[in-house]
Amino acid sequence: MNKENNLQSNPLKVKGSFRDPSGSLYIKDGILYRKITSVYHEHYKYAKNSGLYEALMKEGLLIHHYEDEPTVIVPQKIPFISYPYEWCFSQLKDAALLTLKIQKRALDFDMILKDASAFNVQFLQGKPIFIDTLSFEKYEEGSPWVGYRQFCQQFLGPLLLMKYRDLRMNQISRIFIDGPPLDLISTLLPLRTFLNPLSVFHIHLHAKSQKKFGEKRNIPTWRISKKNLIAFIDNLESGIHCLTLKKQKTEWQNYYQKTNYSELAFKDKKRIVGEFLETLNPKTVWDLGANTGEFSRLASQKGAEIISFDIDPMTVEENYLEIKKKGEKNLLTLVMDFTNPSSGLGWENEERMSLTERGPVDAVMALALVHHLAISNNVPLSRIAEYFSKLGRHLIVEFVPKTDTQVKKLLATRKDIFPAYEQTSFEKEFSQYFVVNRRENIADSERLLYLMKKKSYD
Amino acid sequence: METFLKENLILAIFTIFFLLLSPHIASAYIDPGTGSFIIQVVLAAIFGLAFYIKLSWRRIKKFFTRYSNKTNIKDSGPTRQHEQGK
Repeated sequence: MNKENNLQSNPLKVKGSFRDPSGSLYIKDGILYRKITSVYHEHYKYAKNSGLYEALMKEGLLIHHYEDEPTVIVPQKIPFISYPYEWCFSQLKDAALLTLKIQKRALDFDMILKDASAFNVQFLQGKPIFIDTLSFEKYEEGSPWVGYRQFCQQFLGPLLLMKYRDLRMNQISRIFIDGPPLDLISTLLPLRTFLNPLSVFHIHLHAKSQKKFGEKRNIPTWRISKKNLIAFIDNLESGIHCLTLKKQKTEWQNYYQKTNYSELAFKDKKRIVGEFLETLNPKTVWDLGANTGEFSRLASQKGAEIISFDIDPMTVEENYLEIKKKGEKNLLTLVMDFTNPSSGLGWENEERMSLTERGPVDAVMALALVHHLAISNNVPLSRIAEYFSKLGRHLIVEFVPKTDTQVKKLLATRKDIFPAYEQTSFEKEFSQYFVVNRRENIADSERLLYLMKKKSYD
Repeated sequence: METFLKENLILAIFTIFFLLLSPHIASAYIDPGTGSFIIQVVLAAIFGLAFYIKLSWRRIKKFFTRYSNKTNIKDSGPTRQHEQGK
């Protein structure tokens, strides 16, 4: 599904794996390997022999791996790599709590997490899981948690910004790949966060301390006892555990209640999409503009691995909580704005993959989305068709004509500069990239559903 | 009771002294940052102490609860016998 799938007879280095000298990732014959370098051998052996790896894997906290050679491991494959700027509040919160839980378990085995990158957490079968097997090093009594600043920048800061400022602040991690600087987080947080001990200690005072002592390059001669370190981690853990989100009103909430469909139209749409999915029987599906995942679940119930993308972090939050509640294993929900989807980020723009690089999938669903892209964002229909053809081998797409009240609303406050936005042009433009297999009218509405197959794909 | 207080006092002094001992920082591939390190040491000491106080308070409370329970039990002898009889 992602570029790790590419069949290569020669090892292909994973571009995002260069920061930590403990090991390097490469792909050979479609299998992801991790070579452990000599600087990490001692720590790896210790983690293995102390029983830490076994315990963490048993508890479902750490990704499974097996040894291909004594210094080469093969980690379990993650079907889809997602990034913190694509997560909703609770996803980031769960990832933060997982990191702290692992830190405490590691200390039980006299080891410590040497970093605290949010990129070390992925979502697998509905749950967060730690993927960096080489993140542990031998704990020496007195040493601090080196990754504390990183933890505050990548987890705590964005969480507090989302809670106290705006949910859309998750996007700040997209600008600052190592997490936003603490002084910026401190400036952006509202005054009332000075009443919250968690933000006072770990953000505001932390930022002040950085400002005051940042110039000094010599680390003071202090030690942290293990007991104090555990109390410190406990404090962060209980503080984050208590961070809850007040429901913020957003544009796309209660979307299904606000639509112009009749009950009959909604049922018929579900029936047609269900039939299309039955015909395709896809293994992997991306639902673009999925809202809370009503239609995504039609695919997930048929056993497909599905990702529900939506622009609204609150609907993604609702969907994630539902996934958690029901224990749904093959559904992942992520925040994504398709007018500006995740691009390649970091060093050479290759450290973090773009969304397109993480595809294509068997089927893309774009229900009630095209009119938003074409009219609200002025994207020509041909460009929409071209982009969809890069993402999936099949397409289930809905066309909502100008006569529909939802489209009328979009055009109500602007000049209609979209003469090409009509059914014949839609079919013509999409036919450049796809073969239309089926077209169905949704009962009791003017909307149309299409099942298409990418032209160059057999 | 005296031994209990003495033991915990030694532990408290030990904790504070521990902070002021020799330099210690693991070699790492990321920079911990001097400011982040200092605040971590200070906060860890505060939270460590808070935890110690909480724990000691619980022990003291437990000690007195047990003591008063014993007194109550002594006062109400027949009930105790009844309970023992069970």
